[in-house]
This record gives sequence, C-alpha cells and structure tokens, in this order.
Amino acid sequence: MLMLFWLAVLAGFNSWAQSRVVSGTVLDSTSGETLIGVTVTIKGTQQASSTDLNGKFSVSIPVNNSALVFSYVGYDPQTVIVKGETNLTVKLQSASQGLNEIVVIGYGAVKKKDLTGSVAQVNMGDLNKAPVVSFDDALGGRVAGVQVTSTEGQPGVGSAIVIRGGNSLTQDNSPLYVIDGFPIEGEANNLINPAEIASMEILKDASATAIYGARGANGVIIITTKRGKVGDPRINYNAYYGFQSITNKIPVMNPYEFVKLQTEIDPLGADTIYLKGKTLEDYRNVAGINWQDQLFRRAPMSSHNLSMSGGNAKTKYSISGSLQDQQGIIIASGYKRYQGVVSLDQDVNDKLRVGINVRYTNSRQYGTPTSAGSGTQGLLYSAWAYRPIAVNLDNLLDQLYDPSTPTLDLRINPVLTANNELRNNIVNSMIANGYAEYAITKDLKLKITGGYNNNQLRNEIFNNSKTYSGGPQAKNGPNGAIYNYQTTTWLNENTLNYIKDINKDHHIDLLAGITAQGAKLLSNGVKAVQLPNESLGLSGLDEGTPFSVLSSTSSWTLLSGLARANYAYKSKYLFTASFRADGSSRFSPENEWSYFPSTAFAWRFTEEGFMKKLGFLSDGKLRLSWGITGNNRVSDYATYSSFFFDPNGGYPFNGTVQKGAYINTLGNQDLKWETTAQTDIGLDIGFLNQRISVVADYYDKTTSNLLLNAQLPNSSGFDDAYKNIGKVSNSGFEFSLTTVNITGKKFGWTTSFNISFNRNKVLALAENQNVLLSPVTWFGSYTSAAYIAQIGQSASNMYGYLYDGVYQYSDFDKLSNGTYQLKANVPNNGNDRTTIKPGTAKYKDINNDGVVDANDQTVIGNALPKHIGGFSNNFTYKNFDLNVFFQWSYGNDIINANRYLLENGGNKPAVNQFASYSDRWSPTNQSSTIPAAGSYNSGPLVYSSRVIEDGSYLRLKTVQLGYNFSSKLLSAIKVKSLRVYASAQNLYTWTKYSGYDPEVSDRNSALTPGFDFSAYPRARTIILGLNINL
Amino acid sequence: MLAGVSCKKILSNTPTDFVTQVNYFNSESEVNIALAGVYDPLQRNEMYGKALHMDLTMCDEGFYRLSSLNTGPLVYNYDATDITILQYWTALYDGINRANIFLENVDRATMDATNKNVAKGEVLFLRAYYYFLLVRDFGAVPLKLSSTKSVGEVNIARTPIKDVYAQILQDMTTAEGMVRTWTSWGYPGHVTKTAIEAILARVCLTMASKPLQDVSKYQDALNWAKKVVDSKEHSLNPDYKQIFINIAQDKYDVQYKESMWEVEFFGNRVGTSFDETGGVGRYLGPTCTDIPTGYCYGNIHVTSKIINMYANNDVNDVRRDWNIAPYKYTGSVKTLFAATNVYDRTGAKFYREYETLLPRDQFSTPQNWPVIRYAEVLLIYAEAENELNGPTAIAHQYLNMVRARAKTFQYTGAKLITDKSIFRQAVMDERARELAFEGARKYDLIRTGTLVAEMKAMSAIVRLAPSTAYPQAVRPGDLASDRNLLLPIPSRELSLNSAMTQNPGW
Repeated sequence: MLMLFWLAVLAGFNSWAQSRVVSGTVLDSTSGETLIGVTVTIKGTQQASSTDLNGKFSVSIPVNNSALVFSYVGYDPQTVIVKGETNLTVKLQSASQGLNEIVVIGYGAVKKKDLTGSVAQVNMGDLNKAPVVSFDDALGGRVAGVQVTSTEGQPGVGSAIVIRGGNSLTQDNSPLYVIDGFPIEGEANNLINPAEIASMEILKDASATAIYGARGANGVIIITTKRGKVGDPRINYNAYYGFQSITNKIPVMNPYEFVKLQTEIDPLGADTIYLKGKTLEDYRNVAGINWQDQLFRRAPMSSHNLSMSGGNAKTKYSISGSLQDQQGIIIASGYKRYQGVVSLDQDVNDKLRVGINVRYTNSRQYGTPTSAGSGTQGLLYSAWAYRPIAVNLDNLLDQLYDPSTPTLDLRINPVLTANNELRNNIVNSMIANGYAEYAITKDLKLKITGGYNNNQLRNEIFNNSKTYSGGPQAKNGPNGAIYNYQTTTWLNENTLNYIKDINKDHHIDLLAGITAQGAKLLSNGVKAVQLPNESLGLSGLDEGTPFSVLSSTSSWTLLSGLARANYAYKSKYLFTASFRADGSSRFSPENEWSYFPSTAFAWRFTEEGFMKKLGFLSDGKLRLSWGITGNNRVSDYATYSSFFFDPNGGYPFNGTVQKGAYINTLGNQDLKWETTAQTDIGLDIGFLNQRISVVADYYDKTTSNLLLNAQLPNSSGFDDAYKNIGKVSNSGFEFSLTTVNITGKKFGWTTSFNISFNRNKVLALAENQNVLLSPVTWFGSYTSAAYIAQIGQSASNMYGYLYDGVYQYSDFDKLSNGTYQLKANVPNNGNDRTTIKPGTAKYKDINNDGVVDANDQTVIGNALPKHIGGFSNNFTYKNFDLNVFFQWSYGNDIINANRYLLENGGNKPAVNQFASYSDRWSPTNQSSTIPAAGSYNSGPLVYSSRVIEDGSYLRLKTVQLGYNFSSKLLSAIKVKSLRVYASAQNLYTWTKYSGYDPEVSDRNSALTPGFDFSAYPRARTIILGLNINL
Repeated sequence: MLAGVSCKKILSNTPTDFVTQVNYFNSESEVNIALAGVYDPLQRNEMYGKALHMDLTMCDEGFYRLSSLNTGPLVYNYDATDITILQYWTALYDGINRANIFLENVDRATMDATNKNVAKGEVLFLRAYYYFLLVRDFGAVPLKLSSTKSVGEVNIARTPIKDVYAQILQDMTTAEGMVRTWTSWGYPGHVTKTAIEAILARVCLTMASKPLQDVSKYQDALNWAKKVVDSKEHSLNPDYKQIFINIAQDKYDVQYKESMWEVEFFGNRVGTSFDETGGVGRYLGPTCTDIPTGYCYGNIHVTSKIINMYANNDVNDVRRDWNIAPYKYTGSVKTLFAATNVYDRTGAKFYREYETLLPRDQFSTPQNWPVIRYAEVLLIYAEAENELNGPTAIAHQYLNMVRARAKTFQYTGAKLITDKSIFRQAVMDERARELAFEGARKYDLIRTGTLVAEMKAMSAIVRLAPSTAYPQAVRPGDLASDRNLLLPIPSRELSLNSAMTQNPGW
C-alpha cells in the first residue's frame, strides 16, 4: 500500500506545457444550485481540477487543447469545447432520470439505454432515508419483483429476499450477493452499513444473471460501495439518534376477566387461589401486572458515520468508520455494529490501475430470541400468558416460577428470562478485495481481482440459575456454551474486456474471463453444565461438567469460465449473449461441470426515423431475453453417504455405553445443478424528456431438476435424500413508474411507484408424490402438517380444517338428565362426540361422511401475496426536502398461531388469554364464534382456518423531513454542506391483522412462510439526525 | 493464473467432516461401533422405549387413562396417517438398512475371526427380528436383504408373508450357530444362542397360528423350546417380583438367567448429553407424580376382566398385585386402593421406586426391557406339546413349573386337564397372567383369532359396572374390528412407494 502512495506522490510532478487559464461556475440544470466538487478534466489528459464551495473552478488548459469534461456523481458527464471564453457557466443534468446513467451489471457496466436485460437500480438516496441498520430493512417495496420477508423484528435478524418468486422448495432461495465484485452465497445483509453503499443493482432476468451461472437462478444483488473521487478531501459526518417503541400491544385479559376464566375452567383451584375471602367483583378494578409493559421499553437507537475521501486524477482514497447501536424494544436485546473501511484506487501509469478495498466489521446481536424454542418457552407467549395478578404473598415479578402452577409446569417469568439468559451472536468479518486493471490496447482491458473474506461467528449462550435451563427445576444447573463458526472464502477473477466503436454505428463490448472461488468452513464449540460458579459467567465454563462438543469442517471450490458479447447497431438494435461454465466440487466428477447460456435482444424503437415525429416519447425500448441459470445450494458433501456418530445412537451393553454409528444420509452421486429457464419481455418507455418513465416486465421461469431434499419411502431406511427431481414455475408481471411531477425553483415533486405480481406453481414433486406436507415446529402437540405444496398449486398453501364456528344448542338433543347430546346427523369435530357441548369448536365435514377426520383437511390459506409494491414521493421546497414512502402487500394470509394457545379455553389453569377471548361463546353470548371455556371446547389440537388472518397491509414505512442550510451561510464557517433531518420508520400500518405486525414469518422457508408464533415485534423508530460535509 | 493447475484437482473434494462407508469397517472397534448402531433402534420410543409396551400393544389388559386422548392406537382410533405407526415402521427399516450395510461391509475388517463371526450372527439375527416384528404387525412387507444404494430405489413391492417368514427362519437359524451363549457374555444385552432359540420358538409358534397357520411349525416351536430347556442355562427365578426388581436396579440375574434377552437402557441424563435412557417404568407402574419417588404416569388402567383372570383362577396368585399395582402414590406417600376400586388401578410391572440410580429423572429411566423370559419358553413348550400330542404329562409339567413359581395351584390330580382345547385355553390364560403388560397379550389374541371378541368382552364387562371417572373404558372395545389384526401401512410409505398396497380395512 505504501508503494501506491509513493506512486501517487510522483504522479503530481507533471510538467505543464504552455497554457491559458479558464474559470467558471457549474450549476445543476434544474435547480440552478451550484455544484461542489465537480471534476473538471482536460480531455485526453490526466489533468483535472474540481469546483470549490461556490461551484467555481479554475483550470489551466494547453493552448492546443480546448475540450473540458465535467463529471459529477449523479449527473450526466458533459464535454464543453472551449473557444475563446475565459469564464464559463456549465449546467449539468441530473442523471437520475438520464438514459446515460451507468448501470452496474455482472462483470461490467453499461449505459441504461444500452441495457438489454432486466436490471433494477435501487434508489440509494431514498433508501438511506430510512433509519435502519441493514439495507434489507428498507429494501422492501422499493424494487418491483423483489420480495423482502422480514421474519421478525429483532435487531440484527436478517430478512429473506426472494426475487421473482421462490424456485427451490427445500433449498435456500436467497439471491447471490456480489459486494464490490465478491460473490457471497447466503445472507450478507448485515455485513454492510447502508450508508456505505454507493449503488445497488438487482439483476432479475436470465440475461442479466446467467453470467453468474450456477448461482444466478435466485437473482443477484450487486452492491458497490463508496470510493474516493477526484477532489479536495471531503469529510462527512452523518449521525442520528432516536428512539424505538412498540407500535401496538396485544390486549390480554384483565384480572377480572382472568379470574372469571379460572372460575370456569378450574373452579376448585380458583376458589382456593383467587376467591379466598374475595369475590370475583373485587377484581373489577385491580390493575394487575401487564407483562408486556414489563418486557417492552422505549429503546434508543443511534448511528454515527464518519468518512474522509478525496483524490486527484491518479489517486483516490476513502476511509470511513461507523457505529450503529440499536437497542431492542424488548429488554436486554439489541444489535451493535462497528465497521471500518479503507479503499484506494491508483493509476500507476496510462495503462495500469490498481486498487484495494478492506472492510472490517464487528457486530453483536444479543437477547433471548422470542420465537425460538417450542411452545411455552416462547418469550412473548410467556408475557401474554403469565398470570396477570399476584395473590396472597406471591411476588410474581421476582419469582422465577409461578407458584400457583403445578410443579411440573415450568412456566418461567419472562422478565427474569430476558434479563438472565445470555444470548450473543458476535460476528467478526473482514472482506478484502484488490484489483489490477491493465489497458493492453486502448480498447482491450485486462482485469485481475483477488479477494479474501473471513467471517467468524461466535455464538455465546449462558443460563444462570434464574433461567429455564439453568434454574433449580432443571437438573443440569447453570450451564453455558460457546460455538464458533468460521467461513474463509477466497476469490480470483480474471477478465478481458474489449470495447470498440466502429463507424459510430457499431458498438461492440466483449468480455471473457476465468474465475475461481473456494471456501473452508469450520465450526467448533463446547457446552458445559453444572457450573459451580455462575457468577463467572462463560469464563467459568471450564469448571463445569463437559456436556457436548461440536466440531466440523467442510469446503467447496468453484471454477468458472465466462463470456459475454454486447453488440449495438446505431443504439437501436441491441444484442447480448452470455455464457458461463461452472465446475463445482459439490458434485461428482461426472456432473461437476454445467453450462449456462443466455441471450437478449432489445429494440430502441424511439431511434427509428418514423418514431422521431412523436416528440413526447423520449425513450422506448422493447426487451426480450431468455437464459438458463442454476442453483447450487446444497451441502458440500451431499454426494456422499455419511457415517453419523449419533450421540444417542449408541447402545449401553452391560451398563457401559458403546458408541454407535450408522449411515444417516444417503448420498447421491448423480446430483447436479438445479436449473431455471427464464424468459422475459420488457418495455422501457419514457415521455416528456423522461419526466415520466415506465418499466414493465413479464417473466416466466421454470425450474426443473430441483435440488430437492426429496422424501423417500421409509422402507428404504431413509427419510429423505437430495435428488434432482421436481419442477416449479414462477411467472409474473412487474411495473415501475417514475415521474417528475413538478420542477420549479422553489418547489419540486417526484414520485416513484412499483407493483409486482408473481404466481408460483408446483409442477412436479418426487416420484409418485402429489403432495408435500410440511409441519412446523412450535408447540409439541401440533404435529400435523401446517402447509401443503400440491402439484398444480402454489408451494406455500396453508393446510388444515375449515373452522365452522361453534356448536349451538340447536345441534343437540336435550336429555332428560339435563345434558346435551349431539344429534346423530351433526358431525363431530374430530374429538369424541361425548366431549362436544354447545360452544365447542366445530369444523367443516368437507366430504360429508358425518365424521370430521384427517380427510376433511384442505387448503385454508395462501401465504403468498397477490401483489406487493411501494410508492415513494419526494418533495422539495426551498431548502426543505420531504420523503414519504409507502409499502404494501396484498392478498397473503398469516397463521396467527398465538391464537391457538391464547384464545383457547382448554388451556391450563393460571394461563392468561388474549382480551379477545373475553368475547367467547357462553349461554349468554351465543353469537360468538370463539369456543367456550372448558377443556374440550377448543376441539382437537389441529390447524384450522380459525386463526388464519388476512396479512395484507399498507404501511407508511419511511418519512424523512430534511433541511439544507444554504451554502452561502456555511461557506463562512468552511462547511460545504449541512443538513438536519428527522426520520421515522414504520410510522403507521393499515392492516386487519390482529398480531403485532403483518410483516412476519418466524418459521420462514419456501414451504412455510407467513407463520407467527411469539415473533419479536417490529419497532416504530423516530430519529433526529444531521449530515455535515467539510 | 489457473493455467497449470488441473481443474480435476481443484474440484475434487472428499468429505473432511465424516467418514463414509467406503472408509469404514476396518477394525474391531469400528465394527463394534456399527454393531451398536444396529441395536440402537430397539431403544427408540416407537419400539421398546415405549410403543411396544404401550401404544401398539393395547388390548384387553386395560385402557388408556386420559379420556381427552381421542386418536391413536392407544384408544383404537387411528388410521394410516398415525405418527406412531409411521415411526415404528421407520425404526424397523432403519434397523434393517443398518444391518444390511453392516453385513455388506463387515468382511473387510481386520479383527479376531471369532468376534467377527459373533457380531455377524447378532446382526443377522437382529435383521430377522426386525422383519419378524414387521410381518407380525403389517403382514406382507418389502423384504430388503441389501442396503439402499440409490435415491431412485423407491418402488419396493411387498413380499408374501410366508416368504418373509422363510427368510426370518433361515437367518435366525444361521445366526443361532454363530453367536455366544448368555453365560459366555455374562449378561443378556447381546443376543445369545438360547435367546435366538427362544425367539425362534416364538416365531414358529406364531407361524403355526393365525394368519399363516402352518401347523407343521408346532414341531419346530417345540424343538427350539426343548433346545433352550436342554441347554440347562436358564431357570425360573423363584421370586416373580425379583425379576423386575433386578431390572429396576440395573442388575442382571446371573443366578437364574430367567431374563434371556434384554433391550438395554442406561443412565438418568445427569451431566451428559448422551441419552441411553428409556421409558420402561414411565408408563407401567403405580401412578406417581413425585419425581424423587419415581415419576410414573400409570397410563394403563385396568378393568375387572384382567383382575378376574387372576381371581377366578387362584386368589393366591402372587403375580396379580405385582402386575396390577394395588396402590398409587400421593406425593411420595403410598395410597392403597380400596379392595372394590378397580378402575384406578394401573398396569404395573416396572416399579421406579426400586431404581437405585439417583437422582431419578422425571420421565426417563435406566430400566431394561425383557424381550423374552424363560417362563415364556416353558409355556411355548407346553402349548406346542399340547397341539402336537395333546395335554401330555410333559405339557403339564412345564405349565405347572410356571404356576408353582406364582404360588398358584398345580394342574395335577383332580385338576389334571384331559381335554386338548381346555389345556389350550389354560395355557393362553397362563400366558395372560404370567406375561401381563410385557407386550405379549395382543399378539396372542391375534394369533388365536380372538382379539376382537376379547376386546368386545372387555367393553361388556365395563358396562356391567360402568366408571364415571373413566367413561372411555368402553371405547377401545367398541372400536375394535378385524382391521386391527394388522396395522395400516403408513400413508407416507403408500404415497411415495407406488408398489405398496394397503392392508384390508384401512
């Protein structure tokens, strides 16, 4: 690195030829504002200058050279021929609607107007108005065709991003991330501070993604981070501070309703616990304990970004550091991240440019996950269900167990749990990239890149004596564990790029390359129990009894060759063809290589003579593309059958445990890539000099030879194995509209809108298989399937019984002894007929056989939305700017599993219920469809449409109001710009969903989306910030 | 940069995280590890950990304690989607596949030839035993004698019952000549020569009965039983209770060796992540919710039907108040039932209060499961002898040996049985009393074609003196029908294996 600095210094000693001085001012063509830091280059040389705080520049130009190039990020570059003038006024046009804007694509970049594939640019200016720690929290609704499913609201928990619908059924559907050229498989959302992102492109169609071959089928997100630019050093400090709070609490029964319920379900217990010397009416005005109030808090959130960047024509640098500290709205939870980045670009000589970029991240996510574990361990479940009143001498808030519950019911105080369980996920990550770019000729460039990514996750768990697993009722005493997961990835890419214009009519851009990437994965850890000194925390792990040891390693390698040709004729007819060959170590030698072609054609019909008359049309392009991409998301050694040393698989001969092992996975030597063929038809059209622009796409994807963790008949000795079998299709329509509504000196208004429709359909499953049922693990008794993927239907349908209200008196014959007997012609509900009383839950007897049983299950909901979208408006008035962003999802259902346990009269004593359960059926409230209290009244423990809710929502997601101090004021104090702002995230949501938040999927997978059990709610965030440039 | 580096080399990737079958089975210790893997399914909840003495063996011995449970084999209300049945099927085929892999690879191990032969014999037997459980519960099943090697092997047809049995006999007979004796091991955790002979006697008796009714097998049953008797390795423990107290105390009965083969369980889950515990005693014992005393659900409550089998025969039978707990625990205090109280009594046999490994875990126990006892061999001998030659002296002798230990009267003198069918019934009743709650009764009723009738009889007896606390006691009998003679083929198997067919009535 030192050497590069020396080179930079040397570059300064350039001798100047005979010259004259030209000066001037650079302005924004729309607003007339002066532009600071515009690079002014003398064409054909390396000599450059930049505009000062007042937008002024001064440059000596050789007498014989008379062209200046003005370039500025976010604006179209402009070349000005200097004739005799000595004072110029140059107006640059903002590139945001410009057709000459550069769009980053795989292994290259093209002008927007020359794009043949479907590539969406994320408006980072808008996105960065959201006060979020990682970009995925703000990405939803911004780009057509991109569905961001946030599983829950815990700080630091990532979102699942699915582009144009999920292809895989059992495997990961997340896109490939390419960060500064480094492909990263799997979630990378937290690795980058969103403020560091210069541009984000989302590659959607096969013509765009096929260059990533075997990893392109899920779409690709290309992230380019900020680097230094020519100009004086710029110091930027951007900070905000604010608070998060819960948007809504779920009302639970008050003490009166609670005690009333106890008297109904457990009269004896209620008499001795609650009604000793008291009456039910005495509880009318008792405040009780609201456990949600105990668990939730107003949580501060802060962010600091400090950067310095600059450079001259040959050397550009950027250094930045950031700190994000987001405390969770649940006590003792949060996320904190430190990040430092250094980048340097250096022109060594006319032919050679080198650069590096090093990013180091340290983050800690902490706090008890609310939805993990099963059933009654769920933290929020405990908060809702915990007894709302202390009676007699109980001090419920300080007691680990509820003294009124049976000794074997380990219901745990949620506040003590949250405060005492240590759950840390600590990530240390370093990504280093370097490149060298060599111009072999003027048109032919060689680029060699190398990268190294080391990601270390340390998972720390400690349970002291005030927790579920370390408490006095658990045998193993205080316990703890440390697990380390390390992934080291290396990359080498070598590309040749030939760009040539022939006779102005023919534009040729050829690319060829060879790349290699590999990774080593290592995990290890240890758990110890019965720690004698819990005050030592994890440091005392060595004093305990070793319990279990984890250790594993694996690795993969990917070798690839790639090629692409772009050809444009008069910028009118555009052709692209690409090809990639990928060889993966994950497959056996016969199947390790596979080939991914794509082709695209675009016609810019506005370039045709006959269209030129239509002056209102500023752009019109029809795009057509087809290609094949792959998915390699399978374990590193899936082709091998493994001998599993099952900790519980031994056998205690003669009282001594003989370790046992057996083949637990059936390897598949024939495994190969999952392939997706995608066709895309798109239309880009712009009106009134691009004040209105529209992008519309229709796509059709068919994924075949699915890498399916296919079910096997158990007579094979295995449950499942990886196979290339099954077929899924996704087709859809995307529409984006961007308009510049008003441009004026004082007032400006721009709008962008997008909507996307995707239809997912299962075309084939494993041999003989018509239906793939998926259970969800959340509460022990619910073992049946909650989801169904059926041939001909969506992969994510909800499955169960149709709820049919409750049995009414008219369904019964009253017997002489006063009891009610179900009429013979009325079907049961899956339980024995004698258990059914007026007020008992009723399910539809679909097949009309008089009995409700497994054959009466059907599709009861669809987790996939009919359409999703977003709507963003930017207003400027004088120095004020306002951004208002809405996001929606329409037509998706959610399984609100909380209601199975909390609108359930059959529950155990001392379990509180949602307030909605006060409206349960009773002889005096016969119109209610909520089952009556009492042990059998909720019917069998099955999935039913009773708790399936419409998950549609419209959310006022981000609002930001900013004020820019005028540069005239600031120049006096040597400040280039100063902006103060207030932002709000998740400000208001319109939804019918009764849970905390409709954006939820805490058992998320392609087969089981939209499930809510005890999910960490999303916070409303309001912050104040400032952004200052020096 | 990549030039000169062979692509093949870069992309070759052998697993670093696990061993594969190709590089296993080299040494005696590796063979022993794989051997434990073949035994391992026996311990599962869906086998001797629970289901083979609870869910799948429910019959006229009693009924399930909770009226809230409405579905499942425990209450005779189930179908082909039942999870316990699927898991049972899965455990058996897991065991078979592990055995097949073992047998295909063991020969290349460098180890003591005798030990290798013993291990092979045990695995050969276990495979046959898993098939015996399959054919007895499911009828014709896919007979796989080699391991699954390809993910495409999904359509596997059923093999007729008699062919499955032929393979079982062949493998068990071969294994019998390969394994060690009980005495040589010194404990019954491994399969031994006489254990195989005893199981062969049981298999042959089952073949001679319904549904196969190959009566020629009575002679084989007798021969195998005789072989066990003649080995003189085993005798009856003079104290019936002590057999099960020994089991609770993790003791092997090296003196009498009445317990011939046990599925072993071990530990109390303290301070270790290894879990080799089971559920023997968790369900079948006096009801107790106090953990230090020995937590037990007491899941099977009895009716007068089983109580009368003792009382109507001999009130002095010591087995009654062991097999049916005369008390329950209230906290840690023993509460005796009133003499008239029938329905609160629970099927017992495995008493956790005798466990010596402390502290007791709430749900998991170290108690072994006795798969076959010498007493059963004597009863098989008597039954086969009666079928072949009528109620001879020798048939009486073995029946009386079992009865003498139970302190009941002897079928001698005036009580001598001369009628073959009366003797047949006497043996059946003796089996019910001797082997109560040992998972034997349901299969005895099936092979004698009396399951449905006896279940209905239990309901009828309950209706004579109905219980308000346990209205569900009549349900299993009411629901029992001929289809219960076999379990349904799991619907998962049916949907994924197109060559599979369903059993009648399901």
